[in-house]
Amino acid sequence: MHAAPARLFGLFSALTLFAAACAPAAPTPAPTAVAKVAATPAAVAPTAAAAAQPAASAAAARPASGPPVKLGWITALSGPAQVFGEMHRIAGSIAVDKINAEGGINGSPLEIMYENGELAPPQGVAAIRKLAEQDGVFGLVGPISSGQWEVGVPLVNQLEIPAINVNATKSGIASPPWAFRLVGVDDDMVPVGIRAFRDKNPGVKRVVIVGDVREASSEFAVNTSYPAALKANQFDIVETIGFPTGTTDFSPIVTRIKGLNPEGLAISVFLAEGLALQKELEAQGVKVPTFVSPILWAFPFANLATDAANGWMTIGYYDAVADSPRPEGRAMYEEFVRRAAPVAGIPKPVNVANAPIGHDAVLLYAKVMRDAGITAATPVKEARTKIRDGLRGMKNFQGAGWTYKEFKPDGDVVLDFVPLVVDKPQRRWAPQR
Amino acid sequence: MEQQLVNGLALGSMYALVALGYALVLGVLRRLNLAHGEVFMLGAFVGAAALVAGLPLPLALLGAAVGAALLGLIVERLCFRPAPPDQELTPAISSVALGLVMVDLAIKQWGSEPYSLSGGLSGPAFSLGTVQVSQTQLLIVGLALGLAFALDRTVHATAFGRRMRAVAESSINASLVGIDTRRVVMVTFAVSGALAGIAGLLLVLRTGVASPTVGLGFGIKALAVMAIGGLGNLRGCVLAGLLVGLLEAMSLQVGLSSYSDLVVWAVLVGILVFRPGGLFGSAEHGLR
Repeated sequence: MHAAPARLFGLFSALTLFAAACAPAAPTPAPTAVAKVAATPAAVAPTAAAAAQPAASAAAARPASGPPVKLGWITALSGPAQVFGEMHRIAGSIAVDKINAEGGINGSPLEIMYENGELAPPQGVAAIRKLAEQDGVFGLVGPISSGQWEVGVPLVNQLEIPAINVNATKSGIASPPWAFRLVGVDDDMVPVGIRAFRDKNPGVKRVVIVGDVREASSEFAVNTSYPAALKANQFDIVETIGFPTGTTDFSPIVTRIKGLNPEGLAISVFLAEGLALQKELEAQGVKVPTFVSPILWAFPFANLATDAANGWMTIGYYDAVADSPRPEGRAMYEEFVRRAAPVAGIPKPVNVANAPIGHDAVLLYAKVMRDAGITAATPVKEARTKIRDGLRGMKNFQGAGWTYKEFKPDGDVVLDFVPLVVDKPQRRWAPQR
Repeated sequence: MEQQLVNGLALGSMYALVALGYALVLGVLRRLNLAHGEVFMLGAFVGAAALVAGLPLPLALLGAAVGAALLGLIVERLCFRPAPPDQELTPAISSVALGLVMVDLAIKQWGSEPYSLSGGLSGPAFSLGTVQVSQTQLLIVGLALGLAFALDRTVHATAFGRRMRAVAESSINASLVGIDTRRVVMVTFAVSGALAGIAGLLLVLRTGVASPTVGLGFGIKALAVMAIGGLGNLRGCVLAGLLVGLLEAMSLQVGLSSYSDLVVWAVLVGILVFRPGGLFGSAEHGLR
């Protein structure tokens, strides 16, 4: 009676072992596999902000006290983008520690309330409503994704609460008067990146565009910003190969690419698909100069990809300690890495990438609120209006690592971008020299 | 074109392995296990973790199979066993919920970023003209077809297979003649999970990446494969898996890359319009 199941498993095992014995050696595990430590960002040492503080302002500050001035931050605290939430909380904690060590907001301590919006527009909308209507925060950071931002912008305008997005890169999402973006958008970044790609690879003419055409910002890159920028830089687009989010086996796509014999690739993907595509390109021997969209810069691609990705280019800002032109930027980076070290789920070495934008958004709020004389006692509506006006008048705001010049009439920021390349020996994005 | 045939066969073989798991449970219980995609995903992580721990590939495959088989048993215990026999919808909904729990647990354990194996994918094992076949592709096709054959023989040519088919025909009648139906059901879930676990690790070997969200997309595609092949029809699953893999690869070849998913779903709808039982006929009385 019981022998048959045993035989069944025996057959499975025998087949498995037999086939595996004939199989290739498995890829070895990544030395960068995620470190598992129980600590959270909240468990950081109280002295942690010191490294990120300008000494003069810290010395002159009086301690903040009384009821807090509250900001809301909508990010992904669970789900597939949870790593962004973890990084946002670290960036926020560094900014809050710095601001409060300098005396807070005109004497009131600053506090950030984090809400989980994952990547879903409905959850983003619910979080906006809760923070704006129930919690009475003075301003918002987030939500994360372009899809959330697209549906969130009408709501923040209706609720008349300032919101600064620090992740959504899809172009053409109108945002005034209450919504602002501190992150560069594809329409601004991709042309700069493709120009740098052309300058680095003057012999490349025939380019294939490959990318995820299901996700909003990637689809925009594949079908709009890439073609425009490539044509403007005299590249020939041999073919555009789109695929849906969640594609796993890239062998048919790479076989197609190989058959087209391109001299260069322009890729727009998220991390899982980007890694699988990169490994398949390597396996099939496709090695041509490659440009990837800024989406991938925000992920630890440079860390997790194989050596064959060395030199792949993207467009972003600065990243590592040695790259930031400002001491404050380097200090912020070091502090970020220190606080991220014990956090499970953040691959090491840490890809700080655009996390400083969230940090800078909090600093910008603080500057505007200080300039406007806002404290915790300021009526919510009055505070929000003053903040909106302050943001609209922003000129050359100095963030940790770079300068935000101004907000355009559509609410998108103006800033300079830096071509970056995968530096495999250091497993990070580094400025293109 | 010939290279895409190889690519499509390898992809289709993985679809077939996962689809077989759906078909087994549906065939025996006439209920859908919608956590199967997540069992596949966790099998991939278990196998990848075994490789990371330094185990050789045969043991990693065995680990993925055993780990996923245990998960299959958990799904059976939590979602299917408590439901009364006349309830078909409850276990399906319950298994969706359990699948979502599995995704979140995977994220908590391995992080939301993909779990990437260092090093590249395997190179070509041999070439036939311009066609290159990688070692991993050989492994995938060989293992998938071997396991499918073994499963088919077990169901159709062993005493336990007869018990499975008896339960599939009527669990009441089967129990009246002394068959331990609970045991049959448990083994069915374990085998279904083991197949998914092996497929999960094969996907990791093929792509170099394990992702917590892979179960949803891949699992639903495999569900479509089962429907195309015929509900509960094991041989139909294999043929449909290969067909879908080839369709996806060929749609790329003719410039329909953006529509590769659409092609699969359109084919599914078209087939079910003209052949509601699937291409190779559904198993009206359970497993076939």
